[in-house]
Amino acid sequence: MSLTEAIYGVIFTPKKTLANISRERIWLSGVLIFFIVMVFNLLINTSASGLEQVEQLVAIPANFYGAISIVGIIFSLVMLFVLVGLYNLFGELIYQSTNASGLLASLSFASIPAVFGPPLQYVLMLVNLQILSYIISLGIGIWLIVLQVIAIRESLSISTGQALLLFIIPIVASILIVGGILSLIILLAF
Amino acid sequence: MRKNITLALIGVFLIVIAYLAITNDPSQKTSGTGSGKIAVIEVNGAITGGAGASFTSEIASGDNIMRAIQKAKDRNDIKAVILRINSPGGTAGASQEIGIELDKLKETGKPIVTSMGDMCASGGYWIACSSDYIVANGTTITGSIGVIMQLANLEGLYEKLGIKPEVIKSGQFKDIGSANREMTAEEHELLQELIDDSYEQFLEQVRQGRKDKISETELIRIADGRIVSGRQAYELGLIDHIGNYYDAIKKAEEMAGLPEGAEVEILNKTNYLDMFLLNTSMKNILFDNNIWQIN
Repeated sequence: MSLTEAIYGVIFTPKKTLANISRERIWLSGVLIFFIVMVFNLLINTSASGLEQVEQLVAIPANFYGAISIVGIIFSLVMLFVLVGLYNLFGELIYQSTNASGLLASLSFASIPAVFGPPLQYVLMLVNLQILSYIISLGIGIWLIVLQVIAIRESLSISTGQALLLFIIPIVASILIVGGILSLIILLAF
Repeated sequence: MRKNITLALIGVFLIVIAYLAITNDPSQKTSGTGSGKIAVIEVNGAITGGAGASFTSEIASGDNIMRAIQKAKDRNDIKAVILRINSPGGTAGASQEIGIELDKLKETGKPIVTSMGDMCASGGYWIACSSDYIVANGTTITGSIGVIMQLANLEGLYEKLGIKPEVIKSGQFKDIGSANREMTAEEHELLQELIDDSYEQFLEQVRQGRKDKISETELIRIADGRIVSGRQAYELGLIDHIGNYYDAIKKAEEMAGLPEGAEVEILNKTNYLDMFLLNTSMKNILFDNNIWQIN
């Protein structure tokens, strides 16, 4: 499968394409695509933040935004690997199915639609259609979730319900861990 | 083939948007009539010489401000300049350098109006004195006409830590201001002379800038480093008008003979590349030598 076919397929025929990507385990191109998407979005978002004119409680040096964004990209890359590890671990524990490199490849490619969000938002903000830009963000967010669930399903050869459960496990676990830490802090403080 | 065309179209769309986002910064411009523009030069933070990039705090880089002044001087569409100052001061050298550049701009006949924000003290006021008209809010902190040098003697601390500095020098005053030892009477005198000379130059700048607006006796009385409010400054003749940024714009329009609602353009707003920690010196090399061009 060529890169063009993979990119086109993720947008227009995601089920078949993500299954192929996962089978062929083209994770290196996937991670590269993921990185490019993140950098591209950073470029657009930085400019869009200048349009929003959000009031700040505390003045932050302008170049600090850049640092935060760069850390954000690194964090996103780390999170991609962490999530792949978690899905693979829980896939093995719950469904006795593993495919780490397939998961990495398909989840990386599943991030492609994220590239449309910031540019569309930027254009809509330029023409003062901010509300529509929020709707588009929501739509792209849902699209990304659907693609990630498909990626998990195709990589681990499980059902959609099972993939959905795997998808939400890290989210629920994060909420429980953060909630637990906060509760512990509150209990210790009072 | 169809796939390639579709992807190419998507790619072109994304590249066009990215180009627009990088080159077009609408926050720097406001709409207005097309007969001439008012340029705004921002002086935010401590005024320092050189590129003056800082990760943690805002710094008014002398080089950047002077570059903006040059731009205002060269561009024919700019008819007046607003100096928007929000600064506690800075180094005498950098303030003086900016002041000289503003005097050159003034020679072209383009009026310069200073608008003081929260604070425009010391070096900030030095710069303001090179403008034709000064507007400040009633509660703006300004004044602080004076020069200061602060040095610390860490000899006692070094002794406690067991550090014994060794100094090899070519002349008596080469390590003047050293933290390793107490200052000698001669050194103190020498530095006092230097401070007095800088102070005299500061006074001269105020005399020039506020000619016929403040008497010599009054100036000497208040030029003891004290800070004053905008209202007090108005009563003393250190500023011309109590008002805000928009009053300054209105005054600039009036002085330049521009119709109301003239287009305002910020010449040195933090731009796209600054947000990505690109070192200012590097940026100067890349863009000022016309290797690349940015708006």
